[in-house]
Amino acid sequence: MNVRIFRRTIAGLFLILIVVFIFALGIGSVRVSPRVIVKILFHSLGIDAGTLPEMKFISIILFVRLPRVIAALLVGASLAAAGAATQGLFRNPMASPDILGISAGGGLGAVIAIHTGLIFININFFPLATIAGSLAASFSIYAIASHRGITSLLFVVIAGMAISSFLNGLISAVLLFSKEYEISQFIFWTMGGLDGIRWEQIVLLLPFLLPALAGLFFFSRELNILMLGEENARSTGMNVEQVKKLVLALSGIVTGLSVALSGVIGFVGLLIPHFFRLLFGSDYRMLMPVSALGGAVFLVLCDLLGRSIMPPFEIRVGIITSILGAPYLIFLILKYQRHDVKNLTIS
Amino acid sequence: MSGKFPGIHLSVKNLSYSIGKKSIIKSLSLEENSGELIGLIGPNGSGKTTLIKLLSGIIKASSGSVYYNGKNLESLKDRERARLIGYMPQENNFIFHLKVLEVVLFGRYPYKTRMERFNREDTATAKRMLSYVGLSGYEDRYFDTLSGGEKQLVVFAKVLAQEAKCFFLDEPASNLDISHQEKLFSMASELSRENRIVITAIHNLNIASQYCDRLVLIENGSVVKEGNAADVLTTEIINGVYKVNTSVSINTSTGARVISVVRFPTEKKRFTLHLIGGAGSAVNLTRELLRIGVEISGGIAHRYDSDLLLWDAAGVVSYSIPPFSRIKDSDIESAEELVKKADITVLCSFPLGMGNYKNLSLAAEADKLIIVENTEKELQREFFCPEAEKIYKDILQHAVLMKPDELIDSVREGTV
Repeated sequence: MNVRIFRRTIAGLFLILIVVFIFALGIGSVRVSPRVIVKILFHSLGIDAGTLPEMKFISIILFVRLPRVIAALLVGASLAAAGAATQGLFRNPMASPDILGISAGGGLGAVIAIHTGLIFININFFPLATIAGSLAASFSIYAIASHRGITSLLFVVIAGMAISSFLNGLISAVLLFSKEYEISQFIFWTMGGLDGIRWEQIVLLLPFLLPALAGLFFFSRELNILMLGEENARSTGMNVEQVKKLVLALSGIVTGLSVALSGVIGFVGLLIPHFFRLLFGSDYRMLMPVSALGGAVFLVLCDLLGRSIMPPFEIRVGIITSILGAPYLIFLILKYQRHDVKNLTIS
Repeated sequence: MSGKFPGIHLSVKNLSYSIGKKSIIKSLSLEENSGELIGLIGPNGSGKTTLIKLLSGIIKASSGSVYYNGKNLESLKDRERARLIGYMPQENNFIFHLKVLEVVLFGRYPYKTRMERFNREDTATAKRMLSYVGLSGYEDRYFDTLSGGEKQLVVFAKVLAQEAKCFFLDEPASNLDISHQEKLFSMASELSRENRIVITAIHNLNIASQYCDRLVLIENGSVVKEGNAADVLTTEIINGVYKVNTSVSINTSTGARVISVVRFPTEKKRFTLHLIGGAGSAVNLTRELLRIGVEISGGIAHRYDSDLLLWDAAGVVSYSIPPFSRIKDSDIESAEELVKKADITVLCSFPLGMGNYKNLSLAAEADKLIIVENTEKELQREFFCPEAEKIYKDILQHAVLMKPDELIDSVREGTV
C-alpha cells in the first residue's frame, strides 16, 4: 500500500464528505447558506459563532435535516463497509449485503418486531430484531454455500439470491397479514427511505453500530490474505472459518442496524466498494475506510437528490440508489464478460 | 537460508480421508525423517494432493493421525501449526493488486497477534526470502503484473517467510520453465539438507528421479513403494501402477532415471527376431522393431554396450558377456537357445575383431539369417582379424543381405 496515496485519498474523501454534508443541510424547501449552516453547527456545539438566524431555521436544520443527513452518512458508510467485507470474504464482486439477502433479513426482523408488538415492550428489541434477521440470513448463506470448509464462489451468489427473494416474500406476507397494511410500508422495507428520521433512532443504534463498524476494519489484513485463496490463508495460520464467521457476523450486525434506521437500501454495498476497487485495487487496508467514506458521501448525495429533484415530492433514497445501481451492475457484467469468466473472483 | 535444525520426525498413523463414500486416502501410514527431499509420486487421482493437505493440516483427516516429533498435528493451534509447517498449493495464479513484498509478508502472520503490525524485522525477513528465490528488486512490483512462474516463486517466498521446519509443496514446478524448476527444486533440496522435512508432490517421474532423495509412490490412497529412485522407479513397478509400458534408462550426464513411455502397437506381429549386435549397431533397429511390435531378443553383446543398455531398458531378453572379454564357445551354446527360438536372426552391421567374431558362428546356427549392411557393398564392414572375414564370407552364402530400411519395411509388411 502506498501510504501517501492512502492518506491523500482519505483526506480528500473526508473533505468531500464535509462539503456534501454542509450542502445537504442547506438545501431543501428552506434554503440556508453554507456559512449559516456552519454557524448553526458551531452554535449547537456550544461555540459562539456570532449572529444566528431565526429559531425556526435552527430547528429545521438541527432537528429535521441534521438527523436525516447523519443517518444517510451512517447507513452509507455501514452498507459500503459491509459490502467490501463480504465481497472480500467470499472473493466475489457480487457478494454484497443486499444481493445476498442480508439486508432483507434485517427488513424481515424489523417487520416482525413491529407487527408482533415487540417494539412496544422495549424499543431496544427493534435493533435486536433487525440484527437477528441479518445474522440469520448471512449464516444461512454461509451454511448453504460452504461445503467441507470450501465456500463456492458461485453458490454464494445463487444462495443469496434465493434467500433474498424468499425473505422479501416473507416481508410482504407479514405485512399482508397485519391489520393496517399499507403499500408504503412494503416500499419502505424493500426500497428504504430516510424521511422522518429522529435523533432518538440514531442514539438508539449508535452504541452497537460504531463498535461493529470499527470491528470490521480490524479484519483488513485477513481479507488481504484471503485473496491468496482459503488454502494459502489456512497455511499461514489463519483460522479461516473463524474469520469468516466473525466478518459475517459483523457485516450482519452493521447491515441489520442500518436497515433498522433506513429500511433496505440496495446497491450501495455492491457499487461503492467495487467503484473504489477499480480505482485503487483490492488492498483492504485502503478499501475498507475508503469505501466507508465513499458510501457516506454517496448516500448523502442520493438522499439530497431524492428530495430536491422534484419538490415537494420526495423520491426515496432506495429508489435513487436502485436507478443508479442497476446500470452499474450491468456494466460490471459486461466488464467481466470481456475477461475470462473464471476471473469472477475479485481482482 | 542458514543454520541447521535439530531433526524432526514425521509419523503418519492409519490416516484415512474420504468424501462421502469415496475414500481418497486409505489407512495410510508413513515414517519420515528430516534431511532428505522426499518426492510423493503416483498417478492422477492417487491422492497426492489430498495427502499433502492432510500432512499440512489444511484439511482434517476422517480418521488416523499425523505426529510431528510425537506431537499430534490436531493439537496444534493454527498459528503454531503455521510456524511448524509451510504449505504451498498447486495453483497460485491469483489476480490482485498488492505489492509483492506485502504478499511475502503474509508469511509472517503466524508470528503476530491479532492487533500486532508487521515490523521492520518482518520486512527484513520477507526481503531476504524474496532475494533467496531470486526475485530481489521485485518488492514494489504488483502481484497481478507477474508471470505465472513469478507468482509461484512469490508464494514460495511467502511460505519460506513462515520459517517453518516442514515444507509441503504440491506440484511446485508445474507452472515453471526448466530454469525456474531447477531453481525451485534446488532450494527445496537445500531446505531439506538443513534438516527440515520437505515433501513435494510431483507427477513428472523424471523430475522426481532427478531431484528427490527419496520417493514415496502412492496408488489409490495407499503407499505402494518407498525408497530411493533405483528401488521405486523400475519398469515393473511403474508399469503396474501407471498401466502403461515404460522403459527406464539412466541419463548418461545426470545419472538420474529417465522413464519413457514405450508405445506398443495393439496388434503384435506373430514372429520373433534375434538381433546380433554390438557397438550400438542394433539401437535403431531395436527401436523400430519394438515400435512395429515384433518380439525380439538380443546377443551376444558386451556389457555397457549401448545395444545392451537399450535392450535392458526396453525389457528385451538378451545374452551378454563382460566388457572386452572374448566370446567363448560356451557363450555360443547359451545364446544359441535364443537364436533357435527366433524365426529370423539378424546380424547387424558392426566391425568384427577377436572379441566378437564368434558372434558370426552364432549367426551360422540360424535357420534364416539376414545380414544388415549400410551400403550395397558386401564387405563394407571392418575386419580386425582374418578369421572373422573368412567366417563372414562363409555365412554370406546362405544369408540374405539387406539395408536397415529394407529390413524394417519388409518386417512391417510381413514379407520377411
